[in-house]
Amino acid sequence: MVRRFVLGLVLLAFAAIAFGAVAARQYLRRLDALVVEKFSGRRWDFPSKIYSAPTLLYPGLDIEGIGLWRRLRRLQYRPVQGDLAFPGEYRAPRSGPVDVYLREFLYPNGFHAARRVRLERAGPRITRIVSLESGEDLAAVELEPEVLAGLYENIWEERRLVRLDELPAKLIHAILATEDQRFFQHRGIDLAGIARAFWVNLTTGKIVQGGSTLTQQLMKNFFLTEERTVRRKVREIAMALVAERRYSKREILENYVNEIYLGQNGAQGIFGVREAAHFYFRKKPSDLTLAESALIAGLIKAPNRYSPFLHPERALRRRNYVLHLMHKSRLISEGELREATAAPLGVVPWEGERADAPYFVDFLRRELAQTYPSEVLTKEGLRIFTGLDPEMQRAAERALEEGLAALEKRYPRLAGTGGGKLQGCLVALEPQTGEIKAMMGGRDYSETQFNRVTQSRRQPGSIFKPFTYVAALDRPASAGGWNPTSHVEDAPFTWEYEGREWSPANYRGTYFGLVTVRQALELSLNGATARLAREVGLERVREVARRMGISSPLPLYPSMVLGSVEVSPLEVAQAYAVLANQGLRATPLAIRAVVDPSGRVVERHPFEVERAISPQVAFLVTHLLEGVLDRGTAASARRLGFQRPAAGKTGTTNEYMDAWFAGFTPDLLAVVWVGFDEKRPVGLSGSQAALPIWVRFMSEATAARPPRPFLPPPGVHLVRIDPLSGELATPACAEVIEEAFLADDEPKTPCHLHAALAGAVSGPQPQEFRPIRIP
Amino acid sequence: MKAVHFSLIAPLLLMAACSAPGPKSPQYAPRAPEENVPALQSGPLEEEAIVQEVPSQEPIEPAVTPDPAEVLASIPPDTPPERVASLRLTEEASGLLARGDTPAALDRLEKAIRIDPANPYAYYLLAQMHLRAERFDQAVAFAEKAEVLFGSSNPAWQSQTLALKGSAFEHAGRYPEAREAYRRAVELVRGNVAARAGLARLGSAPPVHSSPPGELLQ
Repeated sequence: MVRRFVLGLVLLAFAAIAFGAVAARQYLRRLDALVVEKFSGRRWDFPSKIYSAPTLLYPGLDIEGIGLWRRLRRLQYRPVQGDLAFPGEYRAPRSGPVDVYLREFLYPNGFHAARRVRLERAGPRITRIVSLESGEDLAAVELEPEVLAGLYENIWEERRLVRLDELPAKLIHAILATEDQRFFQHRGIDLAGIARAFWVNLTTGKIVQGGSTLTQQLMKNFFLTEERTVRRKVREIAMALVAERRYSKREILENYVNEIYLGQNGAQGIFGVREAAHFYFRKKPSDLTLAESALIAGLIKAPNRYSPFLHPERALRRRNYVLHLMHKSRLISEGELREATAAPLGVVPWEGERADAPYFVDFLRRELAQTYPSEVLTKEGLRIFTGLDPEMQRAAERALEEGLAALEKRYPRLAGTGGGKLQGCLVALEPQTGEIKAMMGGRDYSETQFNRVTQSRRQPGSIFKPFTYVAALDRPASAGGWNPTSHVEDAPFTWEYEGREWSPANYRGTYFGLVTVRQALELSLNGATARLAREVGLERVREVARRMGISSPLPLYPSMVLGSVEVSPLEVAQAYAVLANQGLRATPLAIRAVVDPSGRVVERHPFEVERAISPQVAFLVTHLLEGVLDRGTAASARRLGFQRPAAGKTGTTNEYMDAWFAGFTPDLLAVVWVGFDEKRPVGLSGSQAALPIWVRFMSEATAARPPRPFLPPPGVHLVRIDPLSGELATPACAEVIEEAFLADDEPKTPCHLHAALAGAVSGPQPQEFRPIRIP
Repeated sequence: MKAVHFSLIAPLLLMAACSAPGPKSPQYAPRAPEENVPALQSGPLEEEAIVQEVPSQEPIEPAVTPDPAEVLASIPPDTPPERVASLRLTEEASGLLARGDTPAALDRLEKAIRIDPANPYAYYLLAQMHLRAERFDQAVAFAEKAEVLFGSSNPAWQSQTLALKGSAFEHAGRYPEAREAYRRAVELVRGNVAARAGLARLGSAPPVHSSPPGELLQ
């Protein structure tokens, strides 16, 4: 009986041992698989990053106008007084040249090494750029692009991988001296260290000290929580042993220096020594001094407790403790110790400001998702280069926010509680390249992520009118078409189309009778424009709109010509860019290039253009639209101080639901829309609501460049005429303007209104030009 | 500043002279400006006359390229610094193109245009790049942009640009437009060999290309 019982026990014990062995084997296998996965997988998971355009610096540029100091601050360049010692430093005396040590950067067109340049200046303008290394005169240099966003999965963290070879020995020594002096002797666990920790914990009655090796710390960082339990410790030890069996000391150390947690920047964790070197010192690890290396090594134990930003004295004591440990381990000399402990902390405060363009980034995400799977975007570290200008984006944000706030202040009913807030959007393009330079899809991204630039469809109102004028001016007056001085009747009429009738009405029922094409557009006269469109043909107007970039549905109905259709602000911007770009339509560009981590260009989009309308007609209509700002419905732009050559058009829709302004200089175009999302009246015209925002933005966005006129293409003649008669100006004409005509389509006779006064010719007496009010 | 302009324009002119379509032959080799007899002979010229004057079988007369000095003279000494910067980048692009480094050349040209959107030389080179890459529509569009920016005050370059546009049209199979571009090029500069050769090739018979555009541009 007893024997059978003993035998049973023995068998049970054997079974338990066998079961335990199998279970342990399975457990270790699982741990092994986990370790392998983390070593070979996670450390290579890097989010893709979206970059702004680099800042091009060249002679003639106004460095105040482009916000150079803000750009340098956002890029974490360090101002210094003396010589430039490291990339990422600059020296900017109150007057005289500015020296910048540009960082190295892997651009889509290749690697640019770090280099020192001098920007000589006269006042705010750069006069010359010189390489401080070679003394060579440079045509232009680039300040590296700013990161607009990282395409992360869940974790908001920065990862900058570094190879062990790239790290200075002093940093490795500092880490080993502080965290694991016997790293190269143990096999993953250090029994002496554990015994020491056990004794301390036993005597204090709680867990206050760990004897963790680097390998254990890495395992903890990889998989485990901060929870301090015996079970976790056992698992950590088992994994450390597994890792040491599978990987070399070098591999483990490389992983460690890339994974270790070293601080916090807002919501973003700082992981790895490369990121830490950048975060605390704006340096690459290889540029770190001994004292700086010791500070980083000292942070490992408790990054926030020893943060040099939050607790500088504590951080200094900790750094010096590390230096003493290094000296004790004979890793540094007495002299090095003395010098390093005497050095200041040297950390560079984090400005916190960062280029931010959330609507643009959302827009890009959608664009990218059409080409790249989410896995690729969040893990493969693609670098996505865009044309967005962070300073223009900043100007757009300010212009929209301040402009809408000013409207609410001036018209308190707009800030009323009924319905949503007054909204607006702004998009800016470079007409020549089609690049999006700024995009504000709404007033506040945190409140609403709906991008009104790309996702909303609103009636454009008079913004649509230039398409009619493009279609009309395409045929010269001498061939039965029109020129800017051709006359059109501005009076009520009924347009019958496919059995239906439509009667366009002017603003406030005011009609002007016989007007020139210029007056009709400058004053945005509905009656005259509709008549012109009827004569040109509805299909032709629609064809022009399509060619210029309007892709929304355009039902053929006469009211289309006055903007009763629905379009997006981005479409409007593209169409107006054709006028600014001499009739060429540049393919809209959000992404310039996508580059993989090795520097291989995955995709690249050089700018491409397509002939939409003739350069001559583009100039003629641009010239008319200049008059809109100089004399017409947008004349308040000049009163608000915007004096550069510019062309544009206001737009106001029925019942004042939408207020628009689309305008451009030869270098930059911007479209502004103001309204309510729920389509209720704003009660303001485009010139009252949208134009001031456009002026705010354009004043800032164009400040860095000298004003430039619109250049007439060959085949266009500029002729001085009397605007009333549309005929050649005489000395007696009270008002004279320069009008653009297609070659051979210009007027040939002197102004008949004033020539008589001048005694040159006889003719009808001048008539007063005044509006006729139709009840 | 003058040296900058000369160094920019000279290679561009040489490229322009070499860029026009036509059989590859020694007579396209650029010559010293003083030997080129650069007097520009403007004035209307009948297409028929040109075709008769330069029969397609006959060797083409020695190249008459615009005189760099004349182009230099058209750039005022007080050229704004941003335009100089843009021209220097164009010059760099020209060198890179000659070495076959198209991506780097494109990068310089895009920068040149960003700095000075009215730089016609940059657009001219862009047109040339696209022609080499057989993107004929792009080549035409950029050539037209260059044409607009050169304006009527620069007939030598205007003529070269028209010849380039003609070549792009010709390769795209748009022969009437090609003929018109060549005709206008010759109208501006009678001695524009590329344009004359183009007209001679087109003549009244359908043209047959013996070599791709890249070769024509060598």
